[in-house]
Amino acid sequence: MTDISDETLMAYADGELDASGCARVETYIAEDQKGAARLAVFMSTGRSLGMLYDEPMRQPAPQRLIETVLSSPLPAPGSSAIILPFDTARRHRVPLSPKWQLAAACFAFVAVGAGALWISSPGRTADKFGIAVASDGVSIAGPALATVLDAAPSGGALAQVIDGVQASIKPVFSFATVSGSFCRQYEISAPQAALLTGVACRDGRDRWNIETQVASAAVQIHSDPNTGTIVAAGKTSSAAVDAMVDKLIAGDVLGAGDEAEAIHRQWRSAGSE
Amino acid sequence: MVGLLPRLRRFSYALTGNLDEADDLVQETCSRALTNAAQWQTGTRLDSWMYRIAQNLWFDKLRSAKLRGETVNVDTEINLVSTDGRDVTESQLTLQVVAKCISKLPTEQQLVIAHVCVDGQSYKDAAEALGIPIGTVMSRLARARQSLHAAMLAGGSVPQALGPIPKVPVRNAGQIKHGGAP
Repeated sequence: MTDISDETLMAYADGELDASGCARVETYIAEDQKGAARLAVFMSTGRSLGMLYDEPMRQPAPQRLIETVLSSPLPAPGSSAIILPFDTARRHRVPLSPKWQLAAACFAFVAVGAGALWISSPGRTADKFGIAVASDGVSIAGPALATVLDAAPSGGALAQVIDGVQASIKPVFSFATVSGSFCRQYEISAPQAALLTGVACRDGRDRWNIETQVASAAVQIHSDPNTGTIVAAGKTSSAAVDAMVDKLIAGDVLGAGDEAEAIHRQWRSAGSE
Repeated sequence: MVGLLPRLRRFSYALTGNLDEADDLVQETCSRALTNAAQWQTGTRLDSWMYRIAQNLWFDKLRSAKLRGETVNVDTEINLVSTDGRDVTESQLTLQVVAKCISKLPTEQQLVIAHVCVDGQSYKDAAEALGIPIGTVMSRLARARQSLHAAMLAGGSVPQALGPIPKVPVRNAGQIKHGGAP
């Protein structure tokens, strides 16, 4: 029997293990029934839990704090802090270092392994959860996902039932495309399952077309010690989702006011009607 | 330093469990850092230095409250409507539970949670920031997360970032309907 310490399982959940370490943990989880439950303790208390504290990353700092800093002369921090608004920070993400790519490789297994606990019935897989196929063959948001995408502002999670499973759906942010239509990045989580991240875009028939949806696990913040670039967590996700957003987005993500306006207009682009 | 504010606020939020108190702590940290700016060595990381100031200030506060016989409690009152009038979301409710659980952990465990789980630092960076060996970071963090998980289970909170999710009856298409037409 493989002997895997709590610390090693935790390091695996946090993406801190090297390839051989990952392989040992994966063998253990495959062989020992207690493995998944032990791992779940750390999967559910890692960065995904830390995201609960992300509110300060989503809203500007109070004026009094900014004034405190700006009112005093300070030797220029030089390379230590590049001041970027939150959304700009996301768009200027430094490429993942090999270490994080390795971590991502580890997570691919976790996503499948953990997902298998609930996505076990035939025909239901992580990349289809919450998604329906329309009569014209287009993958669109299912009723639960569509309800949330239609009306919920970004940042808040709403409880929904998808295929009989209790899930929580959170729109992460919204943006406009070059053609003027709207898209939203969202997350779906369910107990004992990997976090799903996807991008859905509103089409001419008021449906949310699913552009991509992938399983991703805990998200790490990546800060570059040389530039001090702040990379906000909670908006980082898998490379596939980011690539899709980068491909579709025109300008920046919508601010709260613009998003509320878009919700009010039922996500119809300004030119239509 | 302005660019560090979001992360510093989040880090402080993890320690205080309360955004208002976190902002007070951040303000004090910035004032302290600016007063002692000469102590910061160019070329070292400004963020680590400021985190150290913040955590020292917070522990001083905890200690003096203890001496006065007060307890610094994380506010466990759940306001159903937040300050901007929106309904409190599920994640805010979960945050209340988590913050309460974290506040009951030993302070050195709270710190590793704040550095790694909340700020997203690597074990190595956290070890440097805290001035302890990486093995100590890992053992503290593992213990902290096991306690947290157990406390959250006991508190009835689903150990999910976005839970807890209220029980909703599962709709069943084949279910026999009782009563009149829908």
